This record gives sequence, structure tokens and C-alpha cells, in this order.
Amino acid sequence: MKILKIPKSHLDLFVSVLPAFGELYAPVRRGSGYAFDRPAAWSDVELKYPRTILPPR
Amino acid sequence: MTKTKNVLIIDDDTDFVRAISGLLASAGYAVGSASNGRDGLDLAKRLLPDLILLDVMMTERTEGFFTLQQIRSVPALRQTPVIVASSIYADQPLFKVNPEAGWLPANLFLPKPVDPARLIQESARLIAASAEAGSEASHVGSAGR
Repeated sequence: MKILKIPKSHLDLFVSVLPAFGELYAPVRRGSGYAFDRPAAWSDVELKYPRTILPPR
Repeated sequence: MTKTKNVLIIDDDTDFVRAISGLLASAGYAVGSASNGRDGLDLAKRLLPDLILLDVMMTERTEGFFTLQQIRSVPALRQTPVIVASSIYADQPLFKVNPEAGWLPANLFLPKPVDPARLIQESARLIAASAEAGSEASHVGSAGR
């Protein structure tokens, strides 16, 4: 396992490369809640979503 | 009679769009444009252009990369040649992922400012290669029937 630490301000640049290696899912706003889905733009990604005890599947 | 080829420019820089539209029009292309990724994707779905010239840093600095992924997820646009033209490597020196490394699903990356002669040359080459590939695919398809 590789652990990568990057500043939050560079996350959009890092994430923009990831789809080359697989499908990218991120927390996005859906209605009044949140869901893990494929973002159409970096601004779709909502990092301040309410965390859950169990990870998304 | 040869059908006029369509080029779609997706770029928020109006000066760039005006200049490149004139250049491509003078080379015989019909040119459409959109100023952001979402509009560009919608227009691409409707126009089915022969070539897309795509900027990266628009409303958001990685917008073009996301737009490119969405373009490639549309079956009718999967084979459409895309040239990414951007100054991201000059404007964001921390972004060091080489465009030639195979991660960018574009046919070509051109750094801005774009060399007009090279743009015309590469546009013609990519459109011709795409048309040839499409023609071969249709021949294979009809031979298989």
C-alpha cells in the first residue's frame, strides 16, 4: 500500500489524473444529501460531507 | 464534393477563440465554440465535430481534464480526435504529470501559445486519420454482414 500526502490545494490536479487508472468516484451533492458518484467537474466534489461509520461500497 | 469538416473549440479565452476560429475558417473548416466544459460537451453531442480543440483551465483549473473524460464516455465521441491546448504546465509548475505519459485520453497536447502552422497541420492529420479509421471500420462492418 502506498500512502500519499498532498496539500488539499493540489487535490484537484491529482484527481484529474486518476481517471486514467480507473473510474473516479467522489462525494457529490445529490438533492439535500450526498452520494458517491462520478463528478463531472471538480466543483461537484463535496469534501465536507457528513462522514459515515461504514465506508461507501 | 468534400464535406466541410467541423471543429469545436472549447475555451473560455475569447481572444484565443476568435483568433483560432479565424485561422481554422481560413483553412476551410466550419468552427463552433463553447466557453466552458459543460456547454462544450452538450455542443459536441449535438454537432458531432470532426475535431475538438479543448482548453484545460477554464472556470476551474482542471475543467478540461474532466470534460475530456466525459467526452470519451460518449460513444459517438469516443473516436473523435481531441487536441488539448493549454498553458497548465507553465501556469501550474507543480503539475508535473507529463501529457505524453499516456494518462491523458487526448490525441495531442499542444502548449499555449499555440503555433498556428502546427495547429493547422495537426488538425488536418488527425481528421484524416480519424476519417480513415472510420472508413476502415465501416468496411470491416459491411464485410462482416
